[in-house]
Amino acid sequence: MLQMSRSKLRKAHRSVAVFSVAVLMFTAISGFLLQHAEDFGWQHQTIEQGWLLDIYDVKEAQPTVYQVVNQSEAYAVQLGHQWYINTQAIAAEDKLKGAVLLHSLWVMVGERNLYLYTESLELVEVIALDLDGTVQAVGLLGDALILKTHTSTYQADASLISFAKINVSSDAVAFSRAATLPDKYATQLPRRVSDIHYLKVLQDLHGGRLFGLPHWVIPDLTALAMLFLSISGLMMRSKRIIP
Amino acid sequence: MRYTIMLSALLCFAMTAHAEQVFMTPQAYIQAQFDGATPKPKVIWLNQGLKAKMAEILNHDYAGLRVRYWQGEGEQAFKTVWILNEIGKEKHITVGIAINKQRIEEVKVLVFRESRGWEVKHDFFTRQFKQLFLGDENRLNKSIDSITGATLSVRAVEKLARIALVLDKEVQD
Repeated sequence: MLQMSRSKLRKAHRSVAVFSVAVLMFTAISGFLLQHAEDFGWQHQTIEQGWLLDIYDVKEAQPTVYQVVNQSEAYAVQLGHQWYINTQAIAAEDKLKGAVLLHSLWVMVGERNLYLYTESLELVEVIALDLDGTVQAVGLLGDALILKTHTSTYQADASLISFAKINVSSDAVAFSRAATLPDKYATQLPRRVSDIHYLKVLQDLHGGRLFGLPHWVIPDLTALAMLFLSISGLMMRSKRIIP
Repeated sequence: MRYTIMLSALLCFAMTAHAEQVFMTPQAYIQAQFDGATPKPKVIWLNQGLKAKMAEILNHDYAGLRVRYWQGEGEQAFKTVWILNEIGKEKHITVGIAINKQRIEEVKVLVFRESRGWEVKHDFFTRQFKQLFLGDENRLNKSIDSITGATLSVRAVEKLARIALVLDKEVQD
């Protein structure tokens, strides 16, 4: 490049510049959007589009379904990471183990956490359970919430604040049982769900990790093009100044 | 070019795995605060006024209608311990806060899930909170020195300290 005449250098500079326009615009636009992704709330919104789910190889999820104790028409459902009461999505991060309706509260239980929701599905509290193992089953003994681990059975107090070990026969407890989701609900649920957020998509788009090798090359091309244009620009300027 | 390099470097950091770091379990923290005798948990229900105060501190609504806490008995009746969570950038940071006579006794980061900003776990940062109390407009009576590169985590811990003081004041009054 050092030996090139100014006209050849200018031609190369112009060719690379024209060739780079699309690549640079793509990088600049995706970088700008990435910088402002949080302003759009993209770190919270998960992808739902079929073609995006295909790119991330998200498979159809098999729902885990439990009949809600005390509410025969209600089902607690986990589809991928997402929990539902019938078809209403709720926020939870655990492996669903069952649910009961108690004192007008939905008590949704995972292996390690208990989620309390009002009847209108407003979150009351997330309780990190401190038991001697993960929860295997949840049920009711009269009006008392019962949690069962591999080795022990616990009863919650009336306010669902603390849990104490009890000895009780499993037969006496009405446990939330695995069930099949009725078609009227199943048809309304998505077949594929993902916890991938749009922010992650944007990061992958900008970083060249979304469309295989051709996409992977784009950030490299961007960097090389900017490097070449900067150096060739400086060289053209120096060749003009120094006769 | 510089923009590209800086952005690439930032993205590299952002892409690193988000490993959950548990420095101390909440149960162990509560036990340690009450010399091994963990009291039964209590809950405070959040009324509209409290929710508004919390939303003002957090800059978003608090998710939940009640908050769990642990209160000592006898000589420790003025001591409360709170296990609270707040998002730093993307993930929750779990913080244990012990308050005695409406002054912060200790702040400790228990679980850190973010990829950056873990510096808030260090004592040099958390000891700044010692003996602080609520000043005007539910702010701490002294400002907390930030940590370069961990601004969002610092803000999250500070918000939780203020929330704990507000809630403590409510249960003690």
